Amino acid sequence: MDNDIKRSKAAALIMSAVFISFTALFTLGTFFSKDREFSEMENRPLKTKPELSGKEILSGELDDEFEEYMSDQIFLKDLMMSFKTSCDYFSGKTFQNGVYFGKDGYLLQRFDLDEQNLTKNISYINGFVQDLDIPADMILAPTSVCVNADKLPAAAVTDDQRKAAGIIRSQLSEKVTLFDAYDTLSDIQKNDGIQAYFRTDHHWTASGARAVCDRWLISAGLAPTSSAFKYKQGWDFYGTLYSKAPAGFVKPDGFGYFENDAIDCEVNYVNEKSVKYSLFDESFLEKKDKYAMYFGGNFAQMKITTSADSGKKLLVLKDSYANSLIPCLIEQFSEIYVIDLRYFHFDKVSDVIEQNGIDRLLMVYNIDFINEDKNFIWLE
Amino acid sequence: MVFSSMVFLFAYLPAVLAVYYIVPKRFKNLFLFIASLFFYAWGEPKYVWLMIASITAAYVTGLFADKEKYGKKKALIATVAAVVWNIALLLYFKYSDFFVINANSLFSMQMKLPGLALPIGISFYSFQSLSYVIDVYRGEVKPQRNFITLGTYVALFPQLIAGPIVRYKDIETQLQTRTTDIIKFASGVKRFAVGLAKKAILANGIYALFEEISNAPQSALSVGAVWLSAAAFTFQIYFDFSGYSDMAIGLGKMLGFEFLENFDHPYISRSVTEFWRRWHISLSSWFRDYVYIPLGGNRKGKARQCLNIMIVWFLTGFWHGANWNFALWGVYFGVLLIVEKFLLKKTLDKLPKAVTHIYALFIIVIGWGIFAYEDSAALAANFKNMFGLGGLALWNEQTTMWLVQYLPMLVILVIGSTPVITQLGRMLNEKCQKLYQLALEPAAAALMLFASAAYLSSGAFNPFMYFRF
Repeated sequence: MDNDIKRSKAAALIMSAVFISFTALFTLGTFFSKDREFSEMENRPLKTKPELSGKEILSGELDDEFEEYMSDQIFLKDLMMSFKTSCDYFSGKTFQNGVYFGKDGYLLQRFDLDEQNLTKNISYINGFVQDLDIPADMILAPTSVCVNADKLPAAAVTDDQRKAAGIIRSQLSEKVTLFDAYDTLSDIQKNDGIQAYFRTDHHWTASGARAVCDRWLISAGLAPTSSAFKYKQGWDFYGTLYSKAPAGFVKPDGFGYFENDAIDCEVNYVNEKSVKYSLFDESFLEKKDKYAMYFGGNFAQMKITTSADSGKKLLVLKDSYANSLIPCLIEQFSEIYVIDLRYFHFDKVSDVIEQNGIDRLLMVYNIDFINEDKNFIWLE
Repeated sequence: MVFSSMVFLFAYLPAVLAVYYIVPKRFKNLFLFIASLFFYAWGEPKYVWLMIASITAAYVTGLFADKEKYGKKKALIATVAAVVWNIALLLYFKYSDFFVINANSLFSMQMKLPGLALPIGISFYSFQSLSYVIDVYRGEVKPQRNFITLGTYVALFPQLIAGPIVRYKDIETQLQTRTTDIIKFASGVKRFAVGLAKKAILANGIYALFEEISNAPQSALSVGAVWLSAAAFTFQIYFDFSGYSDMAIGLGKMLGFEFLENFDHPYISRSVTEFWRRWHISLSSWFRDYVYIPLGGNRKGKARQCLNIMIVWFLTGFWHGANWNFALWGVYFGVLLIVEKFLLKKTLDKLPKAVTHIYALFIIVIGWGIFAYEDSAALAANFKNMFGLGGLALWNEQTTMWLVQYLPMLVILVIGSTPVITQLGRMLNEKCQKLYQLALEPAAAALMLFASAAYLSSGAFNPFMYFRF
């Protein structure tokens, strides 16, 4: 009997100790650790300490503000986030935050066809090229979930990007020569064993982009990239899809890019009024978002002047897929103008073409982007 | 403030517990009272005065409801005053929009909506104060002369915003003389950890499925998916609500209180009658003791009993929110209870267990279908879909995906709805007591606490369900 009492006392002590250490760990840990302003893992800014004002105290808004602050700054935040994502995964939730956990470590973003928006975007493009008197091309890239459909987990549901590509093909103006990158990408992946997409990011790899660029160049009657392009690699990369579903067991991608030392480039960031003498911002190789090393991210308008002597001037309308493809064009074009419609809202694209005497238009978009984006209206 | 929040878990609770255990006994109630007011004011700064007013009203009317001291007449007046005060408070703050909307549409008037934000927990603390005054009038308890003690009872933060509805007579002595010890504290920890995990992991987790299906376009749905969403809601509301009650009971124990149980595995019921003995026990027993029995209960003939049942269940439904669907939900159960009592009881007793389980669950799930949709068009559309009148396919690929993604969780929820886990714990405690008490239980509690914190801090879905109550 005495033993029983002793034991239940000991058990109560252990249980209480569990609770006290649990609360103490997170309470003290949170209050004594320094606040972070940005989460590399989630790739988003974190909430910093709310300011106390009488108005907020009375309105009760402080409750929400402090809750957000504390859950963003909580001790061991990244560990807990990754623990939660892993628990969900092992409980069968292979679909989290719009991303499937696929086979071979692939994270695959689900595609939801929005036929109405897609058709609208194509009509904006058609309206734009109608009065254009220079050749126009479009490189249309499927995303990973299409090329890697065989890696989707059991019972996964996603819309068919080949169907979307078909819609684009049938509706796109005859003035635009469509280059569908699907065959190239699935070909290099299946037959050459080249990884066309990152496993943890929504972009294609440098190899995927270069292969597509080469085949497009050939189809356009130009020479493919030369052997002057050297592959630089050796960085671990956790991409945007990992940020959406950061499970502890996800292995990083290897990040690499092609650099051509034989051609000099000058990049003029038009809106920012700054000039750089490289296509790459190597500082991003030390940060989480390594894909932003191409040009340092997305900008409204850039003018790239190369030492290539073709005299050809190209305008690229693009999403972020183009960022890793554009460096493969520098041997063929002396000037490459790059416009991202997400940020290019105050000037007219046709003025850029006219004022700079551009002789060719290339659009580089992935299907998910044309399907979802709302900025093609700026072509009008 | 809600329990399933970072601010509560890692700022408020540790501070309150630390101070509570340090302050001398005679100041413990005062401290709890102030801490509870802070707890309430954190999210509802405007309405903390309303609660203090309500406590004052209960204090004064309670004093005068003492028949022995003031005579029957005065005591009755005081009690009636308390009833009027609490009912008026509820009518004004909770139901005025509802009445204005309905009066406007009924008489085609254009009255302006009062548009008052509902003070959180008002339905709980009004019922608590009311039961106190009535019990004083009935002579079941002595009036509380210490304002702080009564304030502590009404505002006590563990049960303040989501119940259970604790009766004054149940904790009268505990308010004066309660003890805290390590064994009580530890059992409070266990209970709190279970409740927190039920809320933060299971209820929030399955509610994500309900939301996903509810937000899906009609074209993506199937009959199967709609039933899946009904199941999701059924589990969500039970694990959420009973999780809150577990946390309240656990916190109570940590502070030295013993509250009565509020849920007793309602989904293993074999009849509607049984379900209401197991679901939100503190609410149904409140209505039984303060409405049904005073109305005459079953002592005035069958017709009167039926009427009484209907009144009680209409009110029970309406208590859950100022909308017709909640009233309908109550009436639905009132009718079924009458049917069971007078027609079905004997049949149900004879039927095989499996059949009665399916019968009760079907009634319960349909009930939640009424409860879940405040918008009558959405409510009707959901039932049409459930019974194949919405033009939906029986099943589709998306439904398979939902089922596959949530199957393990659904299995856990089914097991968690039965007493199996409690029984397993008891068995382990008998077979290998040392291992169970010294290692398994603490490890399970640690895991539940950590996982809950991980789920809550990861910005997962965390709704508060009781803002309508």
